[in-house]
Amino acid sequence: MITKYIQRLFDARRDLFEEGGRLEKLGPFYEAAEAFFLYPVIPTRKSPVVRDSLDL
Amino acid sequence: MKTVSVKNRCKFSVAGKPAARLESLPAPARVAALPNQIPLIRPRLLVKPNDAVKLGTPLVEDKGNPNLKLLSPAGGEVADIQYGPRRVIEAIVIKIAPDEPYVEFPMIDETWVSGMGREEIVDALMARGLWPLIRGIPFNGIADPKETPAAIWVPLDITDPFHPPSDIYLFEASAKENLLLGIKILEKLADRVSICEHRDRRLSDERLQQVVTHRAAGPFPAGDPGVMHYQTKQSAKENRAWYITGQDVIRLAEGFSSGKYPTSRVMTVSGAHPENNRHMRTRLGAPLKSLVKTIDRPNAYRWVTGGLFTGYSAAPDGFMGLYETSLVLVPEVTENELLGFARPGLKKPTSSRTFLSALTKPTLPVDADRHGELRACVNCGYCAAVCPVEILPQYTYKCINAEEMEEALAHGLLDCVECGLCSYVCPSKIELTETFKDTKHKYYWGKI
Repeated sequence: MITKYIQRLFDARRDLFEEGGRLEKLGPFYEAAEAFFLYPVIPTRKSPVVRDSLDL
Repeated sequence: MKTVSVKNRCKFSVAGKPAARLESLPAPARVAALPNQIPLIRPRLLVKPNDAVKLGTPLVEDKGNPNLKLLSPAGGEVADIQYGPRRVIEAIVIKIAPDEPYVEFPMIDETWVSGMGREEIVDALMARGLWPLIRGIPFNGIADPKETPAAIWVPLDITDPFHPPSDIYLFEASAKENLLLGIKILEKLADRVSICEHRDRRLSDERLQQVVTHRAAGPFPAGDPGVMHYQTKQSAKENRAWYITGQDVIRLAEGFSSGKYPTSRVMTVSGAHPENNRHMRTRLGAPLKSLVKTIDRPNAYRWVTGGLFTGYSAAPDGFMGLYETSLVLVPEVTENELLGFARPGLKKPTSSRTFLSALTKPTLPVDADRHGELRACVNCGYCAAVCPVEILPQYTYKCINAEEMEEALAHGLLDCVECGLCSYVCPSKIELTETFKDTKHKYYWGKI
């Protein structure tokens, strides 16, 4: 529930930080903040399908 | 007996173990042969849709060696031929007829085997479609009958989590008899047949104990034929060997003694759906959905056939291949994790010491999330620390990227057993195993 709410919050402002947006130069900060609050899910595409939880 | 243990180990304990009982499943309505999942062959199709086929009718042959044929896993009608990208033959689906006609081969018993020469055994295995069960080291393709291998390895237990263990598939007395006959057949093909049991699953049968030559110790991939061969070979002359799993040795013997193409197999379902987790006797090429009792949302899981680390993702409507005996249901993750970077990680499976789960060492469920984006290699050495054949995967990977093939070979690329542990532990999420596998295949075909 909270995850979805925060996701909606980030999605609502995303266009401002994308290419051509008013705050384009702050795009990396926006992405960093989003990754901190919502750790992204990236499905595995190749073998092995399971991976260690450790991320750099 | 020689005990072989692997120095480099990867610590993990995965939840979702199957129940230790063996169920017999009713025969499925359809089964399939999957030529695309057999490495290093160039299949030529020999049947077309709606053709009537018998159990044991050739479905495809190898363009490089037309004697090498994949036989129909059932008698009935070719219901469908499924093609993948660039028209590769993905599946030949057979609708099983009620009377199920079969091709009859001459029966060969133990006395006959004793009097047969190597060539006769090779011809008999080829004619019965059983030769593809024997595979070669280092490329993992079907063994070349013209080659004389240093040894034939028979791993009785595959330590990749959740394969059928030897005490389950050798439970019946006939299976033990067939294993012994199968070993006699293999002894005609090579000077040395090495039977390998795992220290944690010692055989109780006295006659079987007498044929065991090696004992593997430690977690996955201890007991893998490539690892065993690497750890025991004495010189470069022994670089090439063959291997065949314990269950497939039983199938060799069944094919000889019954005169029919053998289709019975013990398989395992495991993973995130506890009510489905069990061992079962079913048919070669069975549909994946026939192996599970109930599943509400099939697309909420990754259907992994062939093992958690060494297997591949299949569609829920797919089938089990020639070599696969394990189906693992791994949950897909669809929702981003709230404050994932800030969590202490009590429930995060890892082989590192980054999360609190490293202290408690619990048995944890796994998922199909990569847990991070692709990044550049930082030479952390995690991959080298878990590699069972002591190559340095990070440098081998860089040699391949720089197209320095000789350097990659010098690092031991061909010793790679494709266990998947380097990709599993890589914090940069580099697809090391796939890179090594692809490069080995290109090298085999002479493309690099």
